[in-house]
Amino acid sequence: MAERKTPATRRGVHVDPLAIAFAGVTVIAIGWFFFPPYWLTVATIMAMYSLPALGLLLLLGYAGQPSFGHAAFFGLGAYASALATTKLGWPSLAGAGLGVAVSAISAFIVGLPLLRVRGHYLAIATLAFAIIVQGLLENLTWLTNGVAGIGRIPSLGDTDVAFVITLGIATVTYVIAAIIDHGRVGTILRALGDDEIAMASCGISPVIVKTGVFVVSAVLASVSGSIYAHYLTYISPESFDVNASVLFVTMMIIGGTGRIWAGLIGAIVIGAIPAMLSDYSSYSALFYGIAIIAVLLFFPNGMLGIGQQIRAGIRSFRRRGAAASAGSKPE
Amino acid sequence: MSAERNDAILTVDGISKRFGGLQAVSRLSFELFAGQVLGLIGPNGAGKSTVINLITGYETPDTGEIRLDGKRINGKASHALSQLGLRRTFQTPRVFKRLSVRDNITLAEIGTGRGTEYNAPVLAALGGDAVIDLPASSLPMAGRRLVELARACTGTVKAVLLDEPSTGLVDDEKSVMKSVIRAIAAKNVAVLVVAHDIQFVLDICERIVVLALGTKLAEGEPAEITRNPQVVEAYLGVGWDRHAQA
Repeated sequence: MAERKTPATRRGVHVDPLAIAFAGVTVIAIGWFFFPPYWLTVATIMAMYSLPALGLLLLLGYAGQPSFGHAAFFGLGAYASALATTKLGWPSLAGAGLGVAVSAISAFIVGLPLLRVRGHYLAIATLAFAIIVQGLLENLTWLTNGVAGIGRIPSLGDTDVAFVITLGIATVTYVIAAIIDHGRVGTILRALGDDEIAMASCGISPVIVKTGVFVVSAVLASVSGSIYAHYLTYISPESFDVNASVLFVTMMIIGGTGRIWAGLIGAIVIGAIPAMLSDYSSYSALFYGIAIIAVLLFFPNGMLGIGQQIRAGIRSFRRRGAAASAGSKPE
Repeated sequence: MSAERNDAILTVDGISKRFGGLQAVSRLSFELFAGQVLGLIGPNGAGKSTVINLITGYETPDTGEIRLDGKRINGKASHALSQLGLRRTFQTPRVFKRLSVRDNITLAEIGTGRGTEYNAPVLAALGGDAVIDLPASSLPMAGRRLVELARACTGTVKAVLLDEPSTGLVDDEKSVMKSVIRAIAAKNVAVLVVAHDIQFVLDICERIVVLALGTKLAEGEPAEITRNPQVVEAYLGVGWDRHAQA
């Protein structure tokens, strides 16, 4: 055989990291100069959500492992940041680092046994884990202050500073993810999502890959949680309940799978819903539900799949037209 | 063939496996030699696929021992065995549907090492550049079986266990599959072929093990097997060769 191309050099795909970097920098620049404060806030929330959305995209969209427990890692990140900065006087970055460490270690410990179960069982097991973590946050009052929560967390800064920091983190993360996606890791994750048994026959341990992607997705949720704590400056356990876990999965379903962009799209759509409904915020859950049903009904591959679906539709329409005019059957 | 026959690559030594009330495999023993194609045949439910699952670590035998190059491999994980050069394919081909043919093979190279020393004949049969960038899901049955086989032959290969390699193939594709299997065996790989298709097995196997209800009914060269009255009664059926020719 002639020299084989590596996945990274396939036509078109290496565009993603550059395109994401360009989009991120453009939005940051335009936002810094032109966005009104409200838009800055909405964009910051979208960027914050884009991290767990990416985590779920890699875990569920690529590797096929469902989790309804990522609110736990989101919460661990937020509480680690809050406690490290308010009780220990650590700088924010060290607090976020603590959150990442706690989340990664707990994801590893929880993941090893949990990831031996599959599908629905894994979804239930991760949900149980999230409920346990929330119970701990509520009841370890000496540490977490219970349901009263923790306040006076140092702020990320003014609205525009928070915007730049959060979008900067999200952009860098997505660029790294897009680069990794086009290499071996992307191939391995997709293969895991396709067929675990075949993966073992190819000499790759599915358990190691699953644990790895679970830990990475937990770290992404944790970083997002740290940003959340510093952004709102007050956190309480109710922010990290099952609804948050479901929200992350919803972002992934709405965004679609297959490309790194999907995570961003999911986060933008989910971030936009409460922004557009600001006067009717109590109905936001209703609109999330409508969004999921609409996407599943009309775009089963998520928003990312819309383009492909339209192209496939045009192609089959043309073929049918050509076949009809030629009086022959389509190939 | 005059190859030395004291160099068993794979030794199956009295393995048994019970699933609840079903004794799927019972004290089965056989050996697989370098460069040899061994057939494993038997009626439906004889335990043929279970044997492959037991050898490749997808199931653990209740008793008995499996040795690769003389070393016990019972209880080793499937991916670890694959890295040791013990490979398999599946009855229903398990290709990675979202990946291209190329990436299917790349994945196996990640797990078991680069090199087309063993899978070159498979890649040639697949059609090379014409199919290499197609999604694996777009291939017909023959293509999927070849992708699986190409994947199973990356890096350094000692033994390949093929589960029903001819099922779902038309005659031309079967002959391609036969020559590919012969080419792999010619590289001193031990090959086990599990199949329903008796003619396919007779054509490419030097030795045949007949399995019925989990136990070994007979073992021998193709000519001995087809004359064995027990085998004819349990599996082939009286007058099978006349039917096969008709």
